[in-house]
Amino acid sequence: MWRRCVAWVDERLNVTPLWQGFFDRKVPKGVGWFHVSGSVILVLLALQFATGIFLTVYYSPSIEHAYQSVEFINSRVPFGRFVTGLHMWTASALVVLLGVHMLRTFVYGAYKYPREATWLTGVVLLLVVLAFAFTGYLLPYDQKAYWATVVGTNIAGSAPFVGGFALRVLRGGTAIGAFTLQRFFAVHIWMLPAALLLFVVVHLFMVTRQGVAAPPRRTPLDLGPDAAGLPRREQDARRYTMEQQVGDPTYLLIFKVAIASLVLFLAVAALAIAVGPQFDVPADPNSTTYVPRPEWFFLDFFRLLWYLQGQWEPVVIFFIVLGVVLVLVLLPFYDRSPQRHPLRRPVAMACAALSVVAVFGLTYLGARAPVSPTASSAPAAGGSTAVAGAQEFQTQGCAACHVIAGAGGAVGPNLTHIGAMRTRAQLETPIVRGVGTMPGYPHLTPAALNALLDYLQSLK
Amino acid sequence: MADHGVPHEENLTRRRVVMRGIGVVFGFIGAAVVVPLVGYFIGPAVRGMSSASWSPLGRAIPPTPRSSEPWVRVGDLGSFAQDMPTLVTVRIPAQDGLTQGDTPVAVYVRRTAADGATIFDVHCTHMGCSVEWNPGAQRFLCPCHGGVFDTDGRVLSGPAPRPLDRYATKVDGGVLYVGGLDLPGA
Repeated sequence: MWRRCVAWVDERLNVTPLWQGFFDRKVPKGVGWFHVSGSVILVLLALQFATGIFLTVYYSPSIEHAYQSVEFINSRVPFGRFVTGLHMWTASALVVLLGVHMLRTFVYGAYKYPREATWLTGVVLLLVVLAFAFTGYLLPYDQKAYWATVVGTNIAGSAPFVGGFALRVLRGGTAIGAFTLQRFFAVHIWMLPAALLLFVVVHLFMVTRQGVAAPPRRTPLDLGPDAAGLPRREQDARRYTMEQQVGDPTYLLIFKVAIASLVLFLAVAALAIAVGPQFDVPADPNSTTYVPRPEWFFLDFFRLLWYLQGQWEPVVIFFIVLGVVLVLVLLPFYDRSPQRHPLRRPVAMACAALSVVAVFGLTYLGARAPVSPTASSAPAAGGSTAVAGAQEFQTQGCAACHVIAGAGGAVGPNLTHIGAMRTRAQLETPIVRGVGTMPGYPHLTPAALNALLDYLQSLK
Repeated sequence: MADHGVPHEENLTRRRVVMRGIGVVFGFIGAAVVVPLVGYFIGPAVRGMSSASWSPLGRAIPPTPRSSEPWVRVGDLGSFAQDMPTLVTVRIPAQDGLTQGDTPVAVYVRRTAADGATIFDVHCTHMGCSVEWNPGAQRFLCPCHGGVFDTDGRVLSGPAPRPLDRYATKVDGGVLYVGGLDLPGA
């Protein structure tokens, strides 16, 4: 029966050559599991389209109803919690897969001639997906969403000259309100999907037209005795003939993609069911006790923002962001060496390793020790003045910048064992007069200061 | 006999002119649509921009709605203790998108004299997180990136690039009023 349907279509449209041209076309030797990341991203994107489109059936992008509509979806719509959970967890999975894909492409040198344009569309796609994450984030309009948007739009505002303009375009004015939510929604469900589709089609067209890049060779391929004199395009045409279409048929690669996709889908679905979508309380712009934190994939940038100080700091932030984007975009143009094998590109590999370490390291630091002016410190072991000192530690807000026994903000030194590391006199001076970026507390009464010092000395 | 799309030599000039014409026509339609659409998207957003908005130094701008009235009542000045920043929620008449209404906006009021007060915006001038007044430490603390401000809103520590933003104030008949945000171009 199925064969009859296919034959009916084929008689009119002659599509079998197209089908075979794709599935039976051979890929280079060595193309296998390490080449599934891009296609798995495509599968995850399709999943996001599906869950996202259906979320719009019940979601309301107004300040008054956004949070309520999300609650409704999660509690009263059949499978609503699953659909929302899938959408949120797939977003995280996408960011991880993008990192993997980018790293794999970089290590294999697949951004070099003739695939520079493919890399460029890839960078655009990375920015589009990050824009998806940023705009989608606001839509539930809970506390995390609201404050992440305050900070995110202010980061845009830090651009020199055009910052004010960029901030206003994002917010729909200077205030975050109805216009902000509405335009983030419009961008998220129409403009970004249109951009995504356009660039995905171009990206896939280029990959299909040129074929998947063969894994890099330690010793270059011998293109023939006359190859050195030929133009680059000719040499590449020869390479194409020798390397492409000599390995496995594409359907074997697509099968590996299917398995990898299944594994990821099961992981994401398990998270969607077991953990579910994560929400905060409704947005409250007037709260002064909420501690804003970004989503995990921006924690590294968040940590970086602590280290920069002073009036020029917004400019530095802007140039860091611009710098990272330019480094990625211009990569095929400042690294033109034809060498693709990782073992023969020590500088490139060192840069990649450094970037990975930096991103992981900053993310870990960003996640550690949440800052809270009201964080509690450990109970004091010592006399009653030490206990009064612990109180003083709280009321003076010291926990905002110092960690004791795992609680508090990690800005200044960890004070868990400070009693064994500093004398009383050494502790007194920075408290009273301040040191470096620590402000001084000259207004402390002698009794309060003594109690505080007793407490700190008890921390051995 | 089919040509399979190969250009004929004798028609090359016509071909070039016509191809260019196609580009011009669709380019015109595209521009005629894109230009209004861009204006549509950014129009309401850039209302009220001044030359100060294009400052060479980028900065954070508080996300609170701007009042449509020049002065809004906060309360009796006498009800505020001297030199004690107090968190107050003021109902500000403001336009939010399509609707005009009263929006609650939080500010810190610090009475400085018998007849004067400073009103601080609650947002840290670094990235816009709300600062919390800590009475024991006599400091405003920002929970996001370690910012610390004193009772005058001056930066003591952390990455904030300028002191806490202030609102204009006036006292009339013992009543404190809050005015516009004192931030050029915002």
